[in-house]
Amino acid sequence: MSISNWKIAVKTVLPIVFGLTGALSLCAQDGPLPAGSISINFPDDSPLALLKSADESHASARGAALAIDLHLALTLRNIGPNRVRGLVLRVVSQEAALGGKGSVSLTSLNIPTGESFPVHIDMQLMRPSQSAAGPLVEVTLDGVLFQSLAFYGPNRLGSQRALTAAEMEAGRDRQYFKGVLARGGPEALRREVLDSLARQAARPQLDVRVSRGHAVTSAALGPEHTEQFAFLDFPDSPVEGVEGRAQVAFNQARQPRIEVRNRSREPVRYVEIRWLVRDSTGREYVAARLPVSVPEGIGPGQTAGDTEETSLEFRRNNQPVAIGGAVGFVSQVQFSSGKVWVPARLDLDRGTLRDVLPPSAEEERLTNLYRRNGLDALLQELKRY
Amino acid sequence: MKHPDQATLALHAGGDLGKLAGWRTGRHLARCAECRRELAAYEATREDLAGLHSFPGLAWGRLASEMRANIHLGLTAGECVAPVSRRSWPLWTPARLAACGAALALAVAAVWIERPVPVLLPAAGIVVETTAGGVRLTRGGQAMGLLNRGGESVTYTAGAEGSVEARYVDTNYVTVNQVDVD
Repeated sequence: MSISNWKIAVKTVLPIVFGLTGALSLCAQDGPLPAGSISINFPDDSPLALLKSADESHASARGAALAIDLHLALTLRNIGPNRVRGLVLRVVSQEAALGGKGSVSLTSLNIPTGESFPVHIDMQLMRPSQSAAGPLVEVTLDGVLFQSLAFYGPNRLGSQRALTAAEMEAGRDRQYFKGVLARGGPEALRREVLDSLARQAARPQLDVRVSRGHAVTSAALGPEHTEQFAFLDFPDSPVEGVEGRAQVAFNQARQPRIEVRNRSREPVRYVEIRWLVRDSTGREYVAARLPVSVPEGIGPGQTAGDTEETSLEFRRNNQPVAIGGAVGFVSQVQFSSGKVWVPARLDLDRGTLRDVLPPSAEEERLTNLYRRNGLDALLQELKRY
Repeated sequence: MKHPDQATLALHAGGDLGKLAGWRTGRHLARCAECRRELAAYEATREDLAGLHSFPGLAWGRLASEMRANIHLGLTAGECVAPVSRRSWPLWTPARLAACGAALALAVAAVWIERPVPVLLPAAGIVVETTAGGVRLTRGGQAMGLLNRGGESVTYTAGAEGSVEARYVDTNYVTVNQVDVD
């Protein structure tokens, strides 16, 4: 074999060898995550302390990408003087999802000073194999809500409003169940809980996909039309819906727009509309939340609106659900003072709303407690509040 | 009586049948006046065709000569472009070995790279959605999902601003996993 032939052979084979070496190096990444991959940071003055964290995460190569299964079991302790009602952990993987973020919240807590409790974070990431230095995932405390509705935390995710609203709904529904118990005794409470469980089991639910950045409509969906909202008005709502519309084509709705009026005497900085849709058979579903956020505040008597540059696609049992007949109602209001309003139980029990809306987190927790541990456990739980 | 078909009679008229078929057809013709008339018609047609040589303006003989000349020309040209010589090459040279090795390596790499991966949405915008096990945000080939842990029933709620949350009861607490577009 001549020297020139060997040169040709070497020139041809070497790049392939290097390529294969690269591919094999990806195989070598299967296994536990390297130290420092997960960063958990709580501020020094945090009312919650991280006692321990168990990490069963691992990474595996998927072609040119890296799949990461992250399973964190944290144990937190309330080291502050106040009873904790809720918390939000911000979970960010900047590399894996540019432009996105996640959060894990715990609500309906009742954690006294000195008590520990678990928090689980189960996450999947898919990212390019080639990565910059730094942690894969960062977990930080975004907020803690106390029994007094006082709040601690940077609140980057709007956690104060979300936790306060959840706590107000929880208080409202605990009070409702206590009222049923006071009026009709344990059997009346049992019937109420069984009714709630039956509604939860029968409640239809849509799978929703929200996209931003591709407002492309398909001709296969048929002609697009403007769907106007009809608003349900709750008498004690501090805000009323003025106008709502979305561009609808078959099972897709895009650019939803909401306009609201503040009819209270206080400035309002956030309004949330709950949007219901009806399918071709007349069955109603909860479609989405529609927020109107005005940080500078909506003055008394003033109107404000917001258009979301998003597209929502609705499916059920993996089949597209043609949508029509949009209905909206004000489901949450935050005043500029920080106070939060949620609808009364009486308003939500009107008409078909009761069957369409999901229960509050607290109602779901209490009925689940009855289902798992029986009536006595529920009675004991209600006595704790 | 079984009569010969038209093709057999036409071939017989031109003397183109084989010996056995010609003998059998001749025997039949000796006994069948109808077939003899058919045969006579074919023979008359052949004579008419022979007379076409004399049609004015159609030089059949010259046309045949030109066609023959063209065929010979084609054959000669074909010989001119035939392979001149064949050198003998060894089957496995280093370059060929390298090429085969490279092809094999490429095939292995292609299989490796194209092996099944978790479903990712096409690179267009940013999407948040419910999945079988939780909620997920995807952008291009990257994804971040929060998985539901336990919880027999999960309540999903979408936010039109670009968020999806999954809520479920885990032991005695309520967990809410949410992914948001920034």
